[in-house]
Amino acid sequence: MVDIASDLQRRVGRVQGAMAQAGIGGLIVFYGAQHNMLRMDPILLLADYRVMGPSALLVPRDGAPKLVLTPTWDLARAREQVKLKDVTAVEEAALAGAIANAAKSLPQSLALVGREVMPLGIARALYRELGGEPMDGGDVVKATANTRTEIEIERISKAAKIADEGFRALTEEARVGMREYELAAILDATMQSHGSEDNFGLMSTGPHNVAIRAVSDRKLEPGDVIVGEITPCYRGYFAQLCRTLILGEPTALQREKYDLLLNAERAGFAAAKPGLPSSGIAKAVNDVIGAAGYGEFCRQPYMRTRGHGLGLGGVVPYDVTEDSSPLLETDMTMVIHPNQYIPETGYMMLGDTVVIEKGGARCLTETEQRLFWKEA
Amino acid sequence: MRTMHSVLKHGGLYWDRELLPQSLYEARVTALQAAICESGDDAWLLFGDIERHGNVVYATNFMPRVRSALAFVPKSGAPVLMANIGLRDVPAAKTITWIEDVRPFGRLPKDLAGLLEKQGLANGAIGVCGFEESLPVADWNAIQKNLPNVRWTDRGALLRAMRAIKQPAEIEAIRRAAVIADNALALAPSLLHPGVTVRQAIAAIDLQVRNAGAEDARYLVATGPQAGVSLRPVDDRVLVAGDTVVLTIAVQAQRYWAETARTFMLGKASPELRELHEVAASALSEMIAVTKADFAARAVAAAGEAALDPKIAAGAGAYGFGHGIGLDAEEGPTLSAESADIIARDATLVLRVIAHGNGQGAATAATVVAGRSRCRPLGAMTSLIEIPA
Repeated sequence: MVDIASDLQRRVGRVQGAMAQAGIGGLIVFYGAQHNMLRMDPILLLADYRVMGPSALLVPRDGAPKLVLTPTWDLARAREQVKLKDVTAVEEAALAGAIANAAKSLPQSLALVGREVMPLGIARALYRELGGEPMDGGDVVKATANTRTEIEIERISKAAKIADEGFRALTEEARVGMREYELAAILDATMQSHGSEDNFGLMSTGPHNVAIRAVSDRKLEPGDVIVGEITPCYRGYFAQLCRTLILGEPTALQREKYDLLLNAERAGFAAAKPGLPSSGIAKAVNDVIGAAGYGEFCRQPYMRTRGHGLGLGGVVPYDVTEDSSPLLETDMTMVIHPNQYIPETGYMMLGDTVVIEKGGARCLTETEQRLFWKEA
Repeated sequence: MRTMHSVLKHGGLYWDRELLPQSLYEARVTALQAAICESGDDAWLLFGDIERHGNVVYATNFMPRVRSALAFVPKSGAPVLMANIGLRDVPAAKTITWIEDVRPFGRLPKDLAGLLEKQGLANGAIGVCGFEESLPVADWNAIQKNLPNVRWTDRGALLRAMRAIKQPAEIEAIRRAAVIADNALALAPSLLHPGVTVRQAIAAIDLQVRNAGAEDARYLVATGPQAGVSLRPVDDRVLVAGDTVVLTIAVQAQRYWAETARTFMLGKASPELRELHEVAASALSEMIAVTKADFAARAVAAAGEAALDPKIAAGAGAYGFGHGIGLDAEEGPTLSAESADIIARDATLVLRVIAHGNGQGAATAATVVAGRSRCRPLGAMTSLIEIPA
């Protein structure tokens, strides 16, 4: 396997190639401490470091990037972990000045990516320090990051295994009388103890769920349908598992309707092949569910997407809908989830993280694809 | 607490109406509307995101678990809550807010323009709070483009002053968050032992925090050789006998935060560590002794700094000697040498001393409420805790 330093050099090289094509001499890549499952962290991508405050990576068209981060006391950790030679730290109030100062050595024209996360106050200070607003860097970083490297796929695979452990704990520990937040706490603690840094975790319980939501103080009852969206993060990379657990033996109706989700997921997997549009996955899933008479429930407000790019935050193919256009490529990672509201049973969930390979989608999550249940 | 923020609030999200009744929020909106009228504005927009959401929660009790939310408060009439959620999420959102009119948005600039135009405020005077700190500049550019005739004024300072004075229910909520943190840390001696990873130990502490109903928690740690260097997010280092474990924790429950810190020793503490911890504890005591209402925030920091060796003081100052705490994990006033803030009566603060020196590390902190003549800790006071091998 390629070592991380070489891997990062290649990632930076791809961005520098894109900069040259776009006529960008120097690029300011901004990110902050709000990590997001659906937004790519470009500093993580290019420096393999998760920052704890507003920070910027300055990328020249040639040569090594510089990292300017906040807060100052995080410098020691950064110097231990970041492979770059030029790493400095400043207080947030001095960040704009430090970025502008570092940008002086960058070739023109200067561009900025990260306006969608840069707080207004920092932007104003930065433009003042730079003597004007830099050009929009657009997708110059994102466009180079459609596919994951071997190291990245390994981390996503590890996150997928952690998600499997989380769901195993959920099935073992769920019991009548416990509160939703207690069950979610067990799930999270289990995943943390297996290496998870974070979790985009949603869970709903009840006899008839309408959608997935935040956990509340509701107590579990016999017959409850527990739907879980489990998304641990390992070394900055996410994987997702969606499953349904019933406290009590499922009814014939619940089994029948869950079979629909299983068939829909299989159809979605079959459509996930390199060279095909991601919209094909959504169409395949919706065709199965629509054919059973639930076409209207495949649209808003009931359903939104049939999956999305996942791994390093929001990456191609982004949201998987019938209107989505990206073509699938090998080494893309994504979640395919035919989660579905069905009037007779309520909302049920099924979804897995996959990597697109030459032959099609390969599941990284290993939890059995079936309707789970346990004695109440 | 300055740290890496999780991708969403993991804990139980519900509204304890006995602790924080609807009348509390109604009274706040009435006060906000008086301030709006006094400032000559037509309405205020209170913006918040998953990291800093105090402005939105203050008026609505709604906390964005992911992304952002905005409260529209007109000078008269009912407020509107805009949240970056889906239509199907509105019923769940309504369980934690008293606002009747909850609107999901996909793109804030477009939907905000629609709201202000419908309210007849496309040419109005609008005060904004939280925009400088949290609103992405890309959204601001689009908002200005969509609403070119609105007169915008930053009213953040006015709202900060209102939020600084904590009401009894708020102080009780912060106290409860402090108790959750203390109770979880009381278990730490049974969890911190050679052979476990820091992440495994914190997972067990977090389980306790979450089982107590917390909706969020943040941890910064330094173990072994790290203790002499800096705090950091939870990592996978395996604890060994003789390790120092420096741990700071912030807990949020019912939207209110509290923060504390502890220093643990896996084995017997060296004289150097004892001395460092005593110095840190003494600096915290000095800060507690001077903290009171109408007192300069910089004087509190100065009291802490004066009790420390200059080199250690510089390091402690980098973390900050403390700040306001409440609906945001970090809010005004700021306790630093440069601060011009004055501590309000009934302000809640975290006072903190994090010390690194001679390869050792120690941390101590307290969440307090500022009274007329002194401050009152809302949680347990900390000491150096030796964990027998």
